[in-house]
Amino acid sequence: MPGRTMSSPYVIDGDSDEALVDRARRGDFVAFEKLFERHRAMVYRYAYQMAPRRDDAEDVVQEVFVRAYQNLHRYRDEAKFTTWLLRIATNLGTDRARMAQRRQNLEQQEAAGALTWMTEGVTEDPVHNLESDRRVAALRKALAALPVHHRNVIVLRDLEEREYPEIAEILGCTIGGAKLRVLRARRALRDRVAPLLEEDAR
Amino acid sequence: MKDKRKDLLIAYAFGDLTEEEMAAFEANDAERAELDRLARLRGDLKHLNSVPECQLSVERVRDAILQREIRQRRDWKPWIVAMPAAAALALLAFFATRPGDAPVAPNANPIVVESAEQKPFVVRSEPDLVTSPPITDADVVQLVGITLSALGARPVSTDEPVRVASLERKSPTVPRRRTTPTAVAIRSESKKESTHDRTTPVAAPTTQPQPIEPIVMISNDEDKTTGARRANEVETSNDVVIGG
Repeated sequence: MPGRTMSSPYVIDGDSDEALVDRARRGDFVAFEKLFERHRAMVYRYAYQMAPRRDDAEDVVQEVFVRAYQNLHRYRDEAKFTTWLLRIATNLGTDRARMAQRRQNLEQQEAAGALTWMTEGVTEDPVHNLESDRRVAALRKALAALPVHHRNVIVLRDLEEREYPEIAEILGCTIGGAKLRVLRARRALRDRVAPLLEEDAR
Repeated sequence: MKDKRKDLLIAYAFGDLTEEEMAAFEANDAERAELDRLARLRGDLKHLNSVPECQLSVERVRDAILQREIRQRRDWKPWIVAMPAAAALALLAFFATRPGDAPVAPNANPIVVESAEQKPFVVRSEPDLVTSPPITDADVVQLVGITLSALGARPVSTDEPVRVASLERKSPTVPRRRTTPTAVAIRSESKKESTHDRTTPVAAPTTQPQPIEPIVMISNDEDKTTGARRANEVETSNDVVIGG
């Protein structure tokens, strides 16, 4: 593990991820803090989709960055730093999500309560907004009920909008394999969300 | 609707088809309704992307890293590594110091020693040894004045195996102990008995000198302290004049 320097006057916002990683490897902790601030939201977003509780998601983010710092020497510049981070988050989030599925009911109740303020309508039509809220809530339920491997690729492709080559790199598979996984996950989501939407519409 | 067609609709709705595939794509009414549902699903998924703000601070991550380091150092148990290492070293030392496993030079020539009874010792000289040249008649004549052939010797080549005449050890000449007449009598008796007991003839024992019986000479002089007559024991009777 590299040694730590708490001050670094040379870190500026324009530095690339690779430059910051290089400095962090040489013990510049401020460079690592910069990386954390830059990518914290992205990792948190992914973690929250996988385990929709703020505490759990923050724990995942913290663990991702701790592991990233401890394994900076293993990072190769061929991959983007964000891809590498998401790969760590995927491995970690998958494990956590599997554990969290046992507490699924409790989490869904809590998530539904916490999300009321987030699912604000995009239009000023209250009827449309209400319908949209229902659909989003149903979709969140359906997504949370999906198997972890399906949820993982839906989040990466349709929420985070990652390209297939990057998804393949994160998952450690081929591009064709990534496309197939996404297709299967979408089909599973579609099958799951259809009755929920009909139920909400009644 | 077949599964393949369903997959094509999903790919179309989520924008995963190429431009040519999009242009070639045609849908009937039922498929168009399905496409609308899929498009709405795609739009709703985008709404899920809004999440509460992450409140994880840099300080918390820094503390977590520090704590992890401290824990790893505390959990480091050197004896876990030290014990197998010590065992490995002990094994290495054991095998390295075994006398039977002494390494042999690959090009060393063996020294052949043959039995003395059937065959004499043959010590094959090693070809890489530096040896002195064989002694010739001329050398001997120069030193001693007689020839080797006169002595019955011949020059020895270094390639010729050296023959050792005999391995039989000669028993060293040990001075005999002085024995008393009683001891001699007992020994002769036991010899007789053992000869009688034997049923099979044995080879005659090697020639052993007969024990010399000592002669005790009693003089007329008396010992001052004891008052008895003095006695002297002699080994042979060569120098004793009896009756004189």
